[in-house]
Amino acid sequence: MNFQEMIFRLETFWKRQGCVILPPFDEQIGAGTLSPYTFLKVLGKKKWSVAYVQPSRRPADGRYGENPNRLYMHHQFQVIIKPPPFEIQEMYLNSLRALGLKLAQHEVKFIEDNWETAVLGAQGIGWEVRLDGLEITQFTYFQKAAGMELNPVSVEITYGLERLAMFIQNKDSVFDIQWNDSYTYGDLRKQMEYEECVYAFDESDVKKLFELFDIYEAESKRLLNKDLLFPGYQYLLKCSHTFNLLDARGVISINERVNLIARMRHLAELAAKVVLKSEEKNGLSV
Amino acid sequence: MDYLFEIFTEEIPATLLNKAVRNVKTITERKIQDFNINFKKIEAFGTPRRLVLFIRGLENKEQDVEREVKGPPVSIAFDKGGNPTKILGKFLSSNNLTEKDIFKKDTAKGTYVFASKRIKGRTAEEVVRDVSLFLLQHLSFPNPMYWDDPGVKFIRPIRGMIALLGNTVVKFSYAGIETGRTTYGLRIDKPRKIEVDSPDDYLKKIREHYVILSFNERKKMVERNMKIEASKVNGRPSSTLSHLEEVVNLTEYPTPFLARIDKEALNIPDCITESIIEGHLKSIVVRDDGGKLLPYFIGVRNGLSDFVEVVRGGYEKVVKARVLDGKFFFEEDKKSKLDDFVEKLKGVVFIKDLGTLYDKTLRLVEVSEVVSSNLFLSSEEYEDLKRAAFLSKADLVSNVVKEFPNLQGKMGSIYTEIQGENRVVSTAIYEQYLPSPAANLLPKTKIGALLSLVDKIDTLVGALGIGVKVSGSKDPFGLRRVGNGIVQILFSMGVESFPLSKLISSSIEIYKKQGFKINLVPEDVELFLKDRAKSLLRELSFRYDIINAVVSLPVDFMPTYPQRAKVIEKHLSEDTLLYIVLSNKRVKNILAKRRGKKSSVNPSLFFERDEEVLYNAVETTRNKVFEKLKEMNYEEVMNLFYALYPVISQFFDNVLVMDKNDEIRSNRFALLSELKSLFDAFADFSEIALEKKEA
Repeated sequence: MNFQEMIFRLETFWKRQGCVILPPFDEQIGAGTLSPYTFLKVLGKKKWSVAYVQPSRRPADGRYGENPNRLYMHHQFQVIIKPPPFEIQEMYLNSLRALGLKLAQHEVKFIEDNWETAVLGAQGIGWEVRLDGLEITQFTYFQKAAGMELNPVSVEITYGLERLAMFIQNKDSVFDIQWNDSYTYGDLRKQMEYEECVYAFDESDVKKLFELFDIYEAESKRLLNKDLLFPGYQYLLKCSHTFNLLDARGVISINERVNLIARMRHLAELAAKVVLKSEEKNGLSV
Repeated sequence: MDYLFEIFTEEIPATLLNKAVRNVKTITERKIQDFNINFKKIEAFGTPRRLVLFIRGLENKEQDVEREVKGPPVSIAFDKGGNPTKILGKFLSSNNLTEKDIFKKDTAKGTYVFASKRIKGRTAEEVVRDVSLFLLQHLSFPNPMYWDDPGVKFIRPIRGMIALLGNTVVKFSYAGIETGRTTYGLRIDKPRKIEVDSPDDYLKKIREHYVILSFNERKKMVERNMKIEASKVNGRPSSTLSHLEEVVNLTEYPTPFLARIDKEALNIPDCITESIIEGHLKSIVVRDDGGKLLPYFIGVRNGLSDFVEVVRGGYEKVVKARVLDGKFFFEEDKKSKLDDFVEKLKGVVFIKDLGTLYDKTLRLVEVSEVVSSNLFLSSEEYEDLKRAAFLSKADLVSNVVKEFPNLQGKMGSIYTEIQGENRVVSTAIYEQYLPSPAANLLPKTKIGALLSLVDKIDTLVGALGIGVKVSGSKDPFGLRRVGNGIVQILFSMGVESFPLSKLISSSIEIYKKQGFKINLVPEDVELFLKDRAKSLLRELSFRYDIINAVVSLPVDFMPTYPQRAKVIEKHLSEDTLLYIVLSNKRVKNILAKRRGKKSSVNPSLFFERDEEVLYNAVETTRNKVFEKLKEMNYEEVMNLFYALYPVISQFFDNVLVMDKNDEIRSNRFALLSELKSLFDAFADFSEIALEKKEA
């Protein structure tokens, strides 16, 4: 099964479970959790079911396209359901079956793995899912966001699409994955990987990036204080990506790291307040 | 009757499972005491997806009991005519009694109405329902979670409950789940429902569906089969108990299989390969008879042997990718000098408010100098210790340690050797983290032990100095473990003393010199360490009074606490200790009356022969005592003390300490004080509680 077919199947599968299927959120972000479709939606009482592909940029993980397992940008398939359905675990296993996997021939293990995202004040409890030893999914029950306990909680399922594709197509290098029957992952993405890494490690202007961080932060604060949630939150995401770029250059000292994370966390809390305020005002109707 | 209670959940963390099972058992045992019901035994089991409780041989119901209930005083219960009052009526109706049931009884407060009331026992069904709900509410876990009901937390979501008393379902609900008789077996493909008739039927069916309930049975399956698998390549599986527990508890039905490690692994240090196999893949390494790592490992599939070759293929690929990663990081690291890594430590925080790891490195180097001059190290040893201290934290910024944090120290040691530093330095860099929770090994080399002490003292002083508190389950920086490490190393040193107090005070000074706000006095740290010493001595099964007696000594004598305690313990039922304790007590009691200026002994003020005798005895004994203490010949010290007894006895029989003359009295106090300090140099004997009647 090729890469794009996997995405179609997952979308179809989760569509059938009642999820809204959205296009990837158009901002440079490090993980599906940061997408407003996740972070802004797990807050509050309103029900929510969504699935989307999230291109995830982690500059520090880049290897100029030379490492078979590491990428500057990979793709996550993210599912959020609030509140979690009773049979969610079986539902997830069914999604693997939908990808053509015969589970009786494999081993699926759920190994404890809880995460915390300091920037979002978010915390989840759950597992990493291993398929024949390979980590293919994070399966987590969101417990906190913006430092607040969530009620109801949401379930977050994050598939690592490249890992899954390498498994299903039995490839040793991510660049050998068939994207469709004519193109490999390498054909479509290798040059971009290389260029992004050259930028992130060699060409980025550190001084400008620090300035940009300040500008984005100020803009985010200004907008969130006017209850302009989406534009304000988007500037927070720009801060986060800028931070990741600086981190890749290894120029963030420890004290600065703590400081920058605290500043972003403050923005996340501002955003959370806007979400909860508007839910209070508008009631539970979407 | 037998009762079965199964809590069916999503996967319980493997490292917490056994403790949860133990808690199921103990909580049930405790709770069932509230009921007046007999049973044969309570058993508990657990797999990743279920906690299971059995109560075997439970009676049908609680025993009925007769209980006497006290009513109002007779004077109020009946009017003057002897007729029952309203008050009595109320007592009767509220207890469901009639006038026939009551009788009068005299008490210290007068005559009262009493009644004998029969309390009907609750049925077994009521009992197990109560017990089960209590269990659900009281099972506690380190990191519980919400999943649905905002009022309920559990280790992982509960997805089903079986509550069967004999053949009958005991109805109740918790977290929105109703009890029933349905469960699921091993996850193979599509889930298949299992309907259970009775507790014994459950045992039979669950096994038919490939769930081995007992941890010990699963462990045996793993141990037996991994040995067989490893023997195919003339190897033997090698793992620690706690790691094996985790591996076993990731399975409901374990099937060990042999898999191959990519040959690239031969080009990286063994510890990286071990970390990949054990830490990441939750599998088991294979060694040859000489302990050398073989290019194989044992994976443990949660499932049957069908298609195990597919699973093996997956595991092998994961190892291959990780080994490749490890190799990349290792090669990258080798391009840099360790001294460059040390420079990078300037960007890594040690503990908030305590600067960077570079600051820490400088402190370790400086304290090493203090160690060296206090222990009279040779200049070679001093250079090694200083170098090891300087490089000790370098590997924390290496690529390999960033990827495999548990390899701290090990990688440092390897890089040090590759760089051509001497063996003493590289070994010390590894040993600084000993004793570690995983391997209860102690540093074997002198320099390793010293570096480990210096590092741990620095952490302890810093953390306590910024006000970190350790209490109950709160210990954010693992300071208890740090403290235990210091004490364990000291206990194993085999020296008569160690300049611990000096190291602590130097550490504080150096922090302050670096400009950090350290708010504590050396005694705070000493007290913390004495507490740790007490706890470790308790683990060695010493009596509390003996522990107190030796821990009263200054911390510099900590290395000798266990030996001293052992000698005291040995003499517990012997006259030797009895007479020493008695002598010490007499001296202590009289010294408590000492007032005014303290003088030192002046032999010219002796008036009684026995003063002179005691003085001479103390003087000649003192040198011997300190000589024997230095030799750590504590047996002999006890004998020396014992030998003083007749002289002390004579002194008290014939000399009146509280002489009217100030000078004479004060001189006698001084003499006794000398004697006391001699005893105190070994232990505080006043702590010892002897069972024998004091003579």
